[in-house]
Amino acid sequence: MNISPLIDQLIDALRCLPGVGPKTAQRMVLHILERDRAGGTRIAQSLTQAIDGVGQCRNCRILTENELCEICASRSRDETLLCVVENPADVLAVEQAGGFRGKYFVLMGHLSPIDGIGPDEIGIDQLLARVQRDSVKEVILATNSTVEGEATAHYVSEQLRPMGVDASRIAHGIPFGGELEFVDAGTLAHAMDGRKKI
Amino acid sequence: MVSFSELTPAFILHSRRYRDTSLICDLFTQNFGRFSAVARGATGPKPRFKGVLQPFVPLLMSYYGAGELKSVKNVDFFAQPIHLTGNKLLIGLYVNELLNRLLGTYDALENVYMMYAQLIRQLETSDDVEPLLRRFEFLLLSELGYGVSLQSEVGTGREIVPEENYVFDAERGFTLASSHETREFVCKGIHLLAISNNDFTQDDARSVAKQVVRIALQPLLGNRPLNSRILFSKRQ
Ligand SMILES: [Zn+2]
Repeated sequence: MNISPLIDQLIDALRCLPGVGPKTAQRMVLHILERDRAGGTRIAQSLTQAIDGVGQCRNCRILTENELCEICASRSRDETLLCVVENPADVLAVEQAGGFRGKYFVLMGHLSPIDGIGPDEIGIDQLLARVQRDSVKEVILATNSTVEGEATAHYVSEQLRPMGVDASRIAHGIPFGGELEFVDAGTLAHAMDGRKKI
Repeated sequence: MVSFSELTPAFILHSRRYRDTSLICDLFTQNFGRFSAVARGATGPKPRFKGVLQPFVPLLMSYYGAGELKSVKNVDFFAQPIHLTGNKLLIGLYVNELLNRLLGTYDALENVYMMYAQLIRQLETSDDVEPLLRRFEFLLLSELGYGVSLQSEVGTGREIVPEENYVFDAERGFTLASSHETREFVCKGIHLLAISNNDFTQDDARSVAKQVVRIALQPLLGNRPLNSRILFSKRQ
């Protein structure tokens, strides 16, 4: 088409967003330029401000515009109970589920040797230092139920063992309200493995 | 031309996120060797293929596409998923990285495939995994054309003698160690013979086997070390 190089540039830039293909990007750009220039300015300003202002929490690595995120700064939460997750979105998920009164550490990924992601890349040293500093008593390993997530949980637990810290793995298995006959084989095998006494 | 449209046995060596909800899977298939394929819609809140696209799950898969990168069409379980835990999981990741690095694309290596399938099945149930891993590595080297002769000297062809000391060179093989040997790795014939008999009862034989495999893999891996080795060396 090439009506305007600036329009092309903007369409191209928007395509970095999840779920935005060329058609959607073009619709967004035309909408802003034709009907809502004020809205466009607001997006541009908020975007710049957020990118300049939001960083990672010094303590748990979740996104925040302060040095410490709200959870880490909170005095009412138990800092000796630490939940380790892969991504910031996982923190939000556990928070929404409710009931957890400890703090978090976000790995920003999982061990993935083939991709060259090892212990250093996911901040294991930082995690261990934190466990030591805050005299953490229990670490809950809430990494994903994937092969890499399991490997990461195992690796972290091995590192914690000599420190005398309890490590636990979140239970995986039958979804709440799920019927056994409709559960896939992998999930069911996992659930059998993770059985506990009643 | 190979037909990709039929379901064939495959393992996933590795997968990574691609775009919003897709995965790029590095596959090791029985009939077509190693290659990559996109599984569209395989992640996210409502994944296709319901989370079966994981390493160590014996799968039946079909593919389409004319380019180098295929697309996954259908997936089914071939056999019960293999459930590796703890250290065995790290070993499994090491083997997957090894295959990902050493196997060329679309190089059908049916023997290697069968060995791999057997290895991870055995890993799941065995209490002593080191001999299984070493045997696999030696077999893999030989299937790739870099077999290590543990029974005879290179050049002279003389039989390895239990009492003698030997040195190992990846490109050549074993030779008698001279009295003023400067190389770091010198091993006893008795351990080489034990390894060739699949006898890993002695710790010394295990240690020799590990070092021989390391040296033998070195030229194949080049300057880039295997990342999964860090997971073992870093553990205290
Ligand atoms: Zn924080």
